[in-house]
Amino acid sequence: MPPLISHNKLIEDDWRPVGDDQIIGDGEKVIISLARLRQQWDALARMHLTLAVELEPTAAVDQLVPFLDHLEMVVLHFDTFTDGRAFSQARLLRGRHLFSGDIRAVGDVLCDQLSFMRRCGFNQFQLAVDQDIDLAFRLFADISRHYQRASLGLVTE
Amino acid sequence: MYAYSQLDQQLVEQRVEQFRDQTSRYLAGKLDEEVFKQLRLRNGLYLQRHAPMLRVAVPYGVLNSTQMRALASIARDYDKRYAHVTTRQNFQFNWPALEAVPDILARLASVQMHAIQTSGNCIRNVTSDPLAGVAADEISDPRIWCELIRQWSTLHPEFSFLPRKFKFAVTGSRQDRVASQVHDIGLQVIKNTHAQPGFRVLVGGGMGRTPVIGKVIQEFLPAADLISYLEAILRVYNLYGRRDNLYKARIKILVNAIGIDSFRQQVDSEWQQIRESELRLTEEHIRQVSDSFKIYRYRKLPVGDTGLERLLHGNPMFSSWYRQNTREHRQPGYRIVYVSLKAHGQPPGDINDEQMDHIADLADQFSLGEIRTTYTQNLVLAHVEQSQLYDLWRALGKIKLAMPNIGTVNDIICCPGSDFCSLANASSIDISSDIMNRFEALDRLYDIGDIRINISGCMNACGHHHVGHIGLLGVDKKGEDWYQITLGGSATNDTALGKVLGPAVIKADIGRAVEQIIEVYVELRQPGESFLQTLDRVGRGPFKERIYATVN
Ligand code: SF4
Repeated sequence: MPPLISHNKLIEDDWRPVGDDQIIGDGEKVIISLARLRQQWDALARMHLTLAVELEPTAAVDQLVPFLDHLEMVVLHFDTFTDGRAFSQARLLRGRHLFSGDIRAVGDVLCDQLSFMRRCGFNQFQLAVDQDIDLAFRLFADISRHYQRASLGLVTE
Repeated sequence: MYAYSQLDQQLVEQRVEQFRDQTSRYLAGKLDEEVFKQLRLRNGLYLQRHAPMLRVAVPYGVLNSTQMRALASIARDYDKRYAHVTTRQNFQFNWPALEAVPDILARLASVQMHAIQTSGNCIRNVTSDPLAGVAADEISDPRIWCELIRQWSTLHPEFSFLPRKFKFAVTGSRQDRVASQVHDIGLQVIKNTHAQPGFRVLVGGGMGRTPVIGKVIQEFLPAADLISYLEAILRVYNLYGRRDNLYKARIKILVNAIGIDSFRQQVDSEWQQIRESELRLTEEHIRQVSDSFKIYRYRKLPVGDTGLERLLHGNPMFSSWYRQNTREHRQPGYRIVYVSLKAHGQPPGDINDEQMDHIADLADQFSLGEIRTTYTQNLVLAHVEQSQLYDLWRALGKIKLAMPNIGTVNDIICCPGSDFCSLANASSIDISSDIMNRFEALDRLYDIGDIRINISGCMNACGHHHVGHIGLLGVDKKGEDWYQITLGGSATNDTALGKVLGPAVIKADIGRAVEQIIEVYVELRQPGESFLQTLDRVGRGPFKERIYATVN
């Protein structure tokens, strides 16, 4: 498994990502797609699940808003590290919709982008496989001064 | 000029150390080539045909003499003793060693400079009117707004990985000297009927392979809403701009695809959510930034100057320079001086280390220690006392910087082309020098009048050929350099995109073709008629006939 950093610590991942056609058991802790969440919400709501949703970079955050109170985590995907859409998604979740659960970065997650991600509201980082963990911790705050304001949902060190 | 706060200074210094770390990891083989590429680009560093190229930011084109000397020292210590001024008012070094770049950046930081966001798919260094704060036709000084945009956009965590590069130009004058209509966002400072400042906002302009003139998205944006509105545009673009095709990723493609009205609606609905947030500029914040600009201490001078009149009268050379290269200043007794970087036998926009040092000295002596860079790749000394113009002219002449050719056929905008750029189809520098050689005689140059010639070595249009009165675009035909000619472009108030005249012309004939175009104009023009007016009246036919009758 790629290393996972949460709240500045290396942690074990106890979430299970499930595909749209995989079965979910009662009380499980699972990551599902937005499509499944929307289609099966009534059934899912009765299963005492701990829920996270993975949002594609193309998906509008608005679609997730009615469900946010029921979600422990939102997973945002970097298809490549140059695709910056998830930065906006994270900021909308944190700053506009005041989502207080975890926001996890997955995909092409590079040490050199962690400080940007964190400032946009991510707090869990599943590093790309080739990334160096020590470096990651060092780079979280390689730049400590910012022009953009903290009160806009931006994290400042 | 803007003086750094502690925050500005610390941020720039941290950015240097961040880049030093990235570079050393790359050199140690610990940072992937493609990743390093994206990181270095966001700090102005390209790998070019021969060597790296470092583009240093000159925010809205304003420098002080200390900064100019630092640039000279960098040219001397790390480069081949020269630098290049770009159409985005930046300074470019063509030969630094990759290993040395962190030290160069540290030297820049020591004089409140940097290379942040001068390239890469992010918000680029903002450009503005080189006559900001001094132009007689100014409505409102654009530099304060430029600085606010600079701060907002610098290392913005959300907008550092956009679909494509993003360029701002801000003008506060009636005459557009920043090409505001061909930028991703063009801001024109205006005042409403209550004399409150605000912006006419244009979006989706640009050059490249799909040139587009920007469309008005806001007729009047109140000044306080500037940053929230820009943030709304950038967010819509970041989320919905195309990322599947490099050539369709600029905001102009998004705007054209959905139409300006529906783009405006999307931006508006985003904007309504953040308009009343902390992004709203308070008067205090605006004042704080405006107080960080040092006030120019002008002397009280008489309007006319009999000494100057006499010198102008007695010295035709000085008088030509005065007419071509100086402009009206809003302060009585002062003139604005353009320093032409278009010398014969020199690539347009190039300046050597000694000239840079001298210009710094001259700025201290004659122009309140300040130097500006222009969209047309020249320099400006913006605050010269009338009575000192003659001395300045003589001093500039000694360092070969008194060419009286601003605005003429020889004031060519030109990209580096195949001499430096690995993307080029054809050369551009030697074409500009061919053209300049044809118009060496000043009498002829002045008789022709103001004509803008722009040259790009490829479709990327760094030389802005689309908006030249005469535009040349390098194309590659079976390994040979050919040039497509466009006529009728403009980047000022009457912004227009040039139209292709006919088949491309081979390198050996292109200088002659340009000369012929100008000859046709001179033959057909009516008294007082500009090149564009004549073209408008007679059409492209006569130009076409002349050129294609003799070449190809
Ligand atoms: S226009 Fe083309 S050749 Fe000229 S600098 Fe730009 S990319 Fe290079």
